[in-house]
Amino acid sequence: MIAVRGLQKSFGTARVLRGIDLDIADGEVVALIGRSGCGKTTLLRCINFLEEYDTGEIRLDGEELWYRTTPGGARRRVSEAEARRMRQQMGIVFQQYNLFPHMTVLDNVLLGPRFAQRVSVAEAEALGRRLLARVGLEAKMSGYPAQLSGGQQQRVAIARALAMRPKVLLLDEITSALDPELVGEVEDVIRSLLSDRIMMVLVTHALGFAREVAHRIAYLADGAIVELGSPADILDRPKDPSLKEFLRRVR
Amino acid sequence: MSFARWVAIYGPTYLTGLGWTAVTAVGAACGALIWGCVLLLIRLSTGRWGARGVDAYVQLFRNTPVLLPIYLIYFAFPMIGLPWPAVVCGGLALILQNGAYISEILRGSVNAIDRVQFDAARSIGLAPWSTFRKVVLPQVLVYSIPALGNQTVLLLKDTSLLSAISITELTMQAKLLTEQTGAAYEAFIVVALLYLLLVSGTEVFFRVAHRAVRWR
Amino acid sequence: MLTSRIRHVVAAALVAILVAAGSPAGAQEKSRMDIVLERGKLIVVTLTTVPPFAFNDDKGQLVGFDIDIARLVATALFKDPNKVEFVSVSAEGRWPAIESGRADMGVGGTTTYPDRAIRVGFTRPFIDSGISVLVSKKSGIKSLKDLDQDKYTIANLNNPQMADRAKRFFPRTKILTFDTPSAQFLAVRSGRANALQIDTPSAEYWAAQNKDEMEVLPGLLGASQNNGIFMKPGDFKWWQWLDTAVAEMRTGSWYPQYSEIYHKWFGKKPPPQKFYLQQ
Repeated sequence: MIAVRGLQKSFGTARVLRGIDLDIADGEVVALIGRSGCGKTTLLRCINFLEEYDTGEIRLDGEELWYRTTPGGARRRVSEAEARRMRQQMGIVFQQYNLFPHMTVLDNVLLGPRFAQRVSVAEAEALGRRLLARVGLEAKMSGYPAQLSGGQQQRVAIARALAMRPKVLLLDEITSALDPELVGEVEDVIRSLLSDRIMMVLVTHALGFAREVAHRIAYLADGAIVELGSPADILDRPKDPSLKEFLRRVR
Repeated sequence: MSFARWVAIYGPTYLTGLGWTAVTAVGAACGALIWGCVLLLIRLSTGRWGARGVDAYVQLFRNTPVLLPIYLIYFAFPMIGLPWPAVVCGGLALILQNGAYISEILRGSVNAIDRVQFDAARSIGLAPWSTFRKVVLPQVLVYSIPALGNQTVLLLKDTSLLSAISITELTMQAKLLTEQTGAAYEAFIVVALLYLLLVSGTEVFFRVAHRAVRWR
Repeated sequence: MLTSRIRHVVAAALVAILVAAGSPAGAQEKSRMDIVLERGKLIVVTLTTVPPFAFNDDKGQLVGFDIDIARLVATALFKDPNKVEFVSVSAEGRWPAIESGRADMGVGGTTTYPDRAIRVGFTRPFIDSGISVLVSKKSGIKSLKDLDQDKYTIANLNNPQMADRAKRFFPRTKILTFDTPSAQFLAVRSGRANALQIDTPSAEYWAAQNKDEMEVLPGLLGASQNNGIFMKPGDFKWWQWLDTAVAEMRTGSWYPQYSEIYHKWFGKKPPPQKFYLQQ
């Protein structure tokens, strides 16, 4: 499970996260919604430390991540090597796929296992083939990202994230950059992962999809979680006026 | 004596020169590419002071004619107990200077890599060295192929300066024949044609290499 | 693509032009003699790297024995040693300079040689000199015979006479070939080579400049070699006049002026005007 406590972050004078508390249970899927600029993507990036945060703590299965407090009370970042080890327990999928254009689809998936986790070639390849089969792209294995559609690239990105055998999957608006007709195939892949009971945090604008896959939805505004509850509570019986306004606009 | 007849008599003499030019150019080009990559790695991985050191190095070599290091290494190194052969000295001088240029070319290409790829590399826990080797370098080299081709052509032409330190490459061969026969035009026209051949070959090589990249 | 195609065309055109320029001049061409007299000034191609024949002194002035000879030629033409313009080139630039007509004649430690005389005209020699060997004192070489061992290296200039002589006198010695005498000299100084061969006056000049490090070996390498004024071949009137001028310097009416220059650069008298005249 993941426990986020009192997370704060500023970019210069702009406070983008103002004390976030969030628990994610094993096998739980949590969706983060909110206006653009509300801090939901920043929160996601703080969880796997692509962004540093100012105060607060994040724990994964009880282990404190990213920072250590010395006996003297000083807060220090963990070493780079330590951060890399921690990061390997999480997979992230980006809005723009962020595949490596010079590598084949299979090599994109293998890169992490081979060079971060030092898995043997044979083992990594078997894993890569299995994952690509799972996202329906085994046939495109030796193609390059530029030869794939956006939906296919995003499926490769999901396979790449899964190749690290992560405890949690972070999904950052993974369908926002896609043409509408390609959204379905990516959403299908996510649906198929639900049975694995892997933790997921998804930032999304697709409220229908959030309702379908998420156990809970958190509504963020101005860097704070304003409302948190079941999809039915948040989407059908919103209490906060700004959430009501947000839902009215989105629909 | 007609041009054709002159070429028939003295043409074969150029083979040694052609060999030395090709060997020094290929050797120095490979060395310079490796050295350029090392300089790029130093610049990217050692923070502000490392980058400043590389900057100073690049400035130093960009603002000096390559004949200077050639002379210095060849004539001064024996005085400090390093009497390396002329080919090594000349090759080293060419590598040191062209490596500086190549590191700048590669640096420019780093900017052509989409920043988000670095996020992706970090997110799968890739260490900086693996990121450089597997993500940065392959792309940088491919983006740089046209500029590297130009630099290699410049390097090829600069091998003519090695005639100053007793290497019998093409230009030295032409000088020797001029001294022997007084036929400067013939001697240098043949050399010009041979350089043209080598340069065209180099350009074709890089163009083919550029086209062979499938992922772009 | 386009640029490389253009370059091929340019290269082909260049070849055509240069081959045309290199072909012998037509017979009806005006003599250089008349051109020089009309111009009122002599244009001389020379080197700057062969002390004491032609080199730049401490002040950067072009000086030397050959330079003074060219001034003497100008004096003979115009009664003024300053009616001369020098064009400095590298060794291999001498021949195109006269072949193209850029210069009227050339000097600069230039040795007459049969292969060369096919393409270049020479006057009779205005100086003849032996070839000496300059060694670094550190090398411990005391005689020409000592030098012929494979542990030694000799620095040559890139002319064929040097290669011929090295093969004849030092078949075992390793050879380095340079394109300027100054590089030859640097090679001995830096320890790249143990010795160099050069015209005796040059060898003596350098030995005098570097008394602690270098010395000239006793004895000469074979027969003496001749340095002449060179010009484009085939212009009989011009060659005849220049050759006569040189003859007058060495054996005739200009011998006193010639002797003065000779003494200035070599510190001794030139060979006698006539073999039957006692000095």
